[in-house]
Amino acid sequence: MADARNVIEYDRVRKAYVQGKAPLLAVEEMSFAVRDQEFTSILGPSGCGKSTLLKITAGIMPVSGGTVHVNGRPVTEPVSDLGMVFQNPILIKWRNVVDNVLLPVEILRHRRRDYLDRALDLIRLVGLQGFEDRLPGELSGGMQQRVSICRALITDPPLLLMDEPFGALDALTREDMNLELLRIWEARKKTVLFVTHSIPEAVFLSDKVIVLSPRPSRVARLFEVEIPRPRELSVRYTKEFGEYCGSIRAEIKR
Amino acid sequence: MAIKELERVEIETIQGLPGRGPGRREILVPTATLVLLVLAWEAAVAAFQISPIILPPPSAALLFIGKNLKLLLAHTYATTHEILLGFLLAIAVGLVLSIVMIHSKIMSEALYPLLVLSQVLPKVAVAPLLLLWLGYGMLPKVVIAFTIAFFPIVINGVSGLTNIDPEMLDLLKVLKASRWQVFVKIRIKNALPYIFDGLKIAITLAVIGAIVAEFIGGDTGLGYLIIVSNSTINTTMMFAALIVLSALGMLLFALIMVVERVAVPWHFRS
Repeated sequence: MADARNVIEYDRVRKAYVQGKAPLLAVEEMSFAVRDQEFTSILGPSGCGKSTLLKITAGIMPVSGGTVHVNGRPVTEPVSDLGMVFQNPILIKWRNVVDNVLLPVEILRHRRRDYLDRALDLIRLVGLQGFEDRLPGELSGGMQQRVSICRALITDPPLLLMDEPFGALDALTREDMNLELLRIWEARKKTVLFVTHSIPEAVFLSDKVIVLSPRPSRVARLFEVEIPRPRELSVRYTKEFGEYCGSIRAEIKR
Repeated sequence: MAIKELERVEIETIQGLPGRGPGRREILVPTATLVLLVLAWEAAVAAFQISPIILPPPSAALLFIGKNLKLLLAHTYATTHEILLGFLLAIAVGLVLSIVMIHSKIMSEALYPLLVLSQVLPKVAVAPLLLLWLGYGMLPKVVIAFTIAFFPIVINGVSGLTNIDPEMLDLLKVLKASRWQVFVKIRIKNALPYIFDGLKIAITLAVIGAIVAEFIGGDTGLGYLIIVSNSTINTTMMFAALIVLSALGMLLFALIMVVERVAVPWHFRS
């Protein structure tokens, strides 16, 4: 362990899939670290193993080589106390908003009533008050994704893994959600590892942007984003923001 | 804020749309179609002076039903009894089999070919054998209705229990959910809409099974009544039995749809 402030450390992580007869190398010699309370984004071309990396981090997929440490412990089984948000909201169709948010509480066999107030607070925080007893089928895509973020936050995990959570949303809703996410992150000081396809989204949200190379992927370059916080949407139209996006874009092109 | 308000409006419009239950038009159109068909049948029989042995007018068949209500009800009761027992048995066995099959790969591999075999073998061909073994009472009819009806329940049950979004399974893994929790909290309810689709097919198959069994042996039921009508060339009675049988089938099907709306309300709201 090099640095006690590192929440996640990847050390020469490799991941190979067996596809037919030939093994397919998805991730090769990946090494980097994510610091406590830092917002880190992972950017890269499609199919470069970004989702794979998140699943490895969560401990729901084994590595083929190398090691991952979360909170100083090697990952060998599902990691406790982390929240995960996926590209799709994956809500349970027959549960209303509150009951969907409370799913992790039930699975972890905590007492529901101890978390009910917190669930209602979170629902208010993401602007869904008044929709507590609606079913997912009655909500728009953006609203559903907000419910899934509440679900990831319900047990107040210090570490959030987000796999292109806003990829399916339209541009306006997406900006809205970016702001909300930053607000939550600033209020609750969490460590976030965020996978995205969008360069402006990565720059807007992150302290660090990690650009991956095409498959087999490794870290192509690491960018530190030094735009001061709190960031407003107008930051996106500054020269500084444009320069970050430009240099990241140039790195991905190669 | 404007975006949130738009969403609110959108939700209200969605809820105003039909889909919660059959509206007036959904009842009116099929009823009118049916009435028109019956009237055309009546008119055709009169216009072409068709012999009642070939095709009796619907009025005659309905009149027969009115005059022989007691007889028809007794036979309907017997058939319904067989259908329902066979259907309930099919639900019980079908659900147990699908749960066993999703929990054990070996059981699934062992049972699947047998299930397919049990379906490719025509029940009509096996029915005489079952009658030979089980006698001419109610039991062989129930068994035949069951063997023909359980298959869609198993197949749909397996689909419903296993067709879970892989990301949902990942989420449950992250939460370290036990197999039992996944089964109780996700799989069962996820399977319900599939199972109800299976039940709708199964109930029509159970009707077929019971009637086929009655054709082959026995002295009661609507299938038996049809056979008797045939051998006595009483086409009017045959049509009366067919009308009652259709009504029975529709009623049973409708009952399942009603239960479905109560049991899986979320399935109709999206």
